[in-house]
Amino acid sequence: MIVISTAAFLVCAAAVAVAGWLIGRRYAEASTTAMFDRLMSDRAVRLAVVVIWWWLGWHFLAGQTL
Amino acid sequence: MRSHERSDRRRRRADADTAVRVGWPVWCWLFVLVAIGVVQIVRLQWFDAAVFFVAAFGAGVIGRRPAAASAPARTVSLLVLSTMSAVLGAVLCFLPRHSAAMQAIVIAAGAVAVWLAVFNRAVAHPDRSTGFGPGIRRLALAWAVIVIIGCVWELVQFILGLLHPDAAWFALSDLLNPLAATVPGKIVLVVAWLAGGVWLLRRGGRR
Repeated sequence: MIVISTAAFLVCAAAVAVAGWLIGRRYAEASTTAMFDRLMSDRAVRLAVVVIWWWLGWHFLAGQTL
Repeated sequence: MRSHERSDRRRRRADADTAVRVGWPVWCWLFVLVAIGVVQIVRLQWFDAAVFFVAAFGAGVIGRRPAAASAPARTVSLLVLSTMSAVLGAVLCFLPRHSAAMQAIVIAAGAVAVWLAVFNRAVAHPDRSTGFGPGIRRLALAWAVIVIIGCVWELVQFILGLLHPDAAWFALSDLLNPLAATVPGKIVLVVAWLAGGVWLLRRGGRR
């Protein structure tokens, strides 16, 4: 099961990279940076994204949650 | 009617006039925060759940406030942000995982990051217009679908682990935790986390 689960997450990571590459080839403006610039231009969304980012560090480094 | 009641009523009316309708993207992110908070309740992680519910409340309040007319006068430069992150990263690499000192410093780092994010103090180009053309839409849709599939897989592994604790189910945390327990793994994790944070804090612009 560990192989299947690892493969599933790796496929998702690869799919994100491939999607970015394919769409970026067709649309010059469609970069990951430009997408996040748009996403984070809303303060409420920026707060949500930063809290999720912070929690990842908390989860793996600090919290007694693993 | 007393004067303070009249002024309260005037203030409420003024707040209602300036309040902004929360758009569907913000509702989607509020749902994400609440959903993660609910998962933390199932995991019996009360602090983590509280963080997400407070964040959802805060994002909901902020989402109703109109955006500032101009960028803040003082912003934190990339050099300052990178230096702060490098010092923080060096400290985190030396602290034992899950120790009280690690918890205190990660909480402090989070508080600073939230302050920078909410008050727009670290965005690289706060006055630059951000587009939402067909390319960005397609990229966002593709990322959203893939990330949702990944999150569903994570949730399935987590739920199966609860229902059948004797069997081996591997959520992302179970896969990464053994790597993070090694010194090189911990260094990679700290560097990736802080670099990602700096990059995220510098994202943004004008709609």
